[in-house]
Amino acid sequence: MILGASYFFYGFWDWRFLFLIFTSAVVDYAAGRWIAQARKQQLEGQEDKQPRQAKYALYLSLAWNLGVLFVFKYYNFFIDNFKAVFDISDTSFSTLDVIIPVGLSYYTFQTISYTVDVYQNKIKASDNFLQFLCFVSFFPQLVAGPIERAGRLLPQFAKNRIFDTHQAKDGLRRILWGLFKKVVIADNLGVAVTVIYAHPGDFSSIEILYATALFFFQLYCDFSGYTDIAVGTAKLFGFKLSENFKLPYLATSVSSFWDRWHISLSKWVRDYLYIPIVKYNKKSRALRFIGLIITMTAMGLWHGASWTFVLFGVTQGLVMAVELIRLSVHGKKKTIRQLLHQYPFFGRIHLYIQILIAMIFFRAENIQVAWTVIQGIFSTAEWSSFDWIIGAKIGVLIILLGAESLTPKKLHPFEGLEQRFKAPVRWMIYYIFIFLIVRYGGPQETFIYFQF
Amino acid sequence: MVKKYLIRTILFLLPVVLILGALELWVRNTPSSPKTIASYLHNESENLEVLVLGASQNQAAIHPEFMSRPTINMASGHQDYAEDLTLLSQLKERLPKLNTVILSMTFAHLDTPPNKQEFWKHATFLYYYNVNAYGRKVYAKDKLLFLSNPSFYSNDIFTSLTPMNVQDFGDYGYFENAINSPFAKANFDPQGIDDFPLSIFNRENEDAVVQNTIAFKKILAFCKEQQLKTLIVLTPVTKKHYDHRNPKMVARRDAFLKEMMELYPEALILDAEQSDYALTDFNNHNHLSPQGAERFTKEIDLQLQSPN
Repeated sequence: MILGASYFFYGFWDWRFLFLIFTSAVVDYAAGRWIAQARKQQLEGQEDKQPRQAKYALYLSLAWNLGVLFVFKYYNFFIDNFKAVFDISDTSFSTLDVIIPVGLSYYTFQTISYTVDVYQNKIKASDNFLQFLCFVSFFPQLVAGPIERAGRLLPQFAKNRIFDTHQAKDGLRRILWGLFKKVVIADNLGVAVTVIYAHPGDFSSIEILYATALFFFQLYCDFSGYTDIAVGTAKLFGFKLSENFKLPYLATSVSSFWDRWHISLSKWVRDYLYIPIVKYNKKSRALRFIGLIITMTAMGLWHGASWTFVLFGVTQGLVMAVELIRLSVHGKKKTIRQLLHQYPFFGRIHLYIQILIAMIFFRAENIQVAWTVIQGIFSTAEWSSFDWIIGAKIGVLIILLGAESLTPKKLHPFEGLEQRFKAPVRWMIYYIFIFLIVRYGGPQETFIYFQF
Repeated sequence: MVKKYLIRTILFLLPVVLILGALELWVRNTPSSPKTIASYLHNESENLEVLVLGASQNQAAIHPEFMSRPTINMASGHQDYAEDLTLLSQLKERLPKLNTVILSMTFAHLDTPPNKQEFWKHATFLYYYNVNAYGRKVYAKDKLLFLSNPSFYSNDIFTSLTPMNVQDFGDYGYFENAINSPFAKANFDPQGIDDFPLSIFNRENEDAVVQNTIAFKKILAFCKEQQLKTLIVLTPVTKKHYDHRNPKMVARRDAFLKEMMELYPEALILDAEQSDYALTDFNNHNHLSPQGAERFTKEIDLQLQSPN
């Protein structure tokens, strides 16, 4: 039933890409079985060392997954830049007229992690094809994560699930909170951001900074709102998905920000990219710096084939590398990250500046627009085009910040509401939020992270 | 346990569904311009000869009552050329006597970004006019008016509840009552109006120009193919508005119109942007009041009657 729902959900968008997701699942399932088979032969003494067959299986999986990702997401970017660098005429190499399948980056990373984990003997290869198909295409998190690890999600398909009222109620509450964040906060903030970013040259530096700050919260509410809906929906079916956000705006450094923002992706690149780079010489600072730059650049590129995302990743990597620098304070050696954590006021100022820079690259359609925005920030243009109705959109943030700051240790502000309020009060709260969603929802926008 | 959970969930959602259902019914039964236009369209489809399309400027400027031939004004705020084309192409079959189409072209029309596929007014078109402007297969939800724009319809409901704001849409869906217009509120005092902030769209948008010109050309081609007389109107604006227009946008619009006149010499243009309309003829700087609409509609009528 779950597989049927997942394939229906995905096929409803574009049925042609069902073949792609199915083939990805077949390739990785086969790779997993091949590795398991090779291991078995190793145990039976037919092979001495790391079985060669297992390596082939891993390479096959990586080649398929990265190949698909490259063709659909990066090929055109690569060709365009290749032509530009070598001044090749337009007719020599043609770009592909393809659309990026929704959720490609998510399920591809999920299947890569499965094969790598099987290869590294962290998990057993799945021997149930149906369960594996469900793992690759599980509909609540298929199109925008969280990027689940096989070790966590696959066993959940294997076990018998019993309907749990408490979990189901919490799931519905979480969906309500996610909808509120997406429809009321993100979509309303998006109005102001779109107006200002459409013509940054027409706005003053304060207005551009305002829009950039709003964009951060738009992105946060859009993406974490989707995650809430995904986690809540999964709960209705008895599944537990990973948490993807932990109040990222309260972090005190860029490094700790990534421990709280898109956690499933941060952990993925840490485990499958950063650690493999630095593991050969953990004490080498140069290697850690290089590792960070490479990892964060890849993280930027994961978001899309554009130089703005590359710059987004590079700047984040550079700042994180700087935060690793050790300073001597009162005779003790501490990293800048530790110092920022020790003095959270300065830590947050540092973080917010970095967020603003990062958001410019993230939001701008191209480098030219990003540059116009940066120039605009340092311009002395007067307040002219600002519409206070748009300016007032920031008001919706009060509810978000108020609710989240009152419940910092909860996964969402409605969690455990039954312990604090009786049913009539709870229902009133839910009705108020439904009213806010219906009445004050912004213009319908698609989830930003669907495009990745 | 599942049964109890489902019953409680249904009980919880029941008031929400009932309230939304009640609001939907309320909106559908509240007098509105599209509702009146739909009724007029339904009753007069066999006789209508003139179809007015365009955005709010045309909606305010042309009152079918003052046309000598049966006319329907289906212009509405934020209506783009692609929507005009959709309305025209889907209504043509239902209007056997249609022979004239009136289009609008303000200086900012070409630079205004076209609406998205899911623009809320498409629900209005679908429900009232049975015109599918979504550009895709329609679903049941597409006909729900209240949910298409809760903010707009909530205000509409509150307005309809206030006796002071009784709205009069006459027989043609034209908004006859303009006592709450910005200029009327300022008692048409020239000084007060001059101090009034000017809301003018002066932002150039190359992408929008490309999309809008394509759609506009398609309308003219359609009209030519269907042998429909086309009149492009440049509605009157106040001097202040006229003087503050972005000259680049004006020049581009004028060049485009010139090009269209060469391609479609049978099309007519009525340029009334710079005219001697009094302040009492306006609701605001670029929208005529019912009084101004009477005068302007008669001008249009005269132009359409002339042999050239």
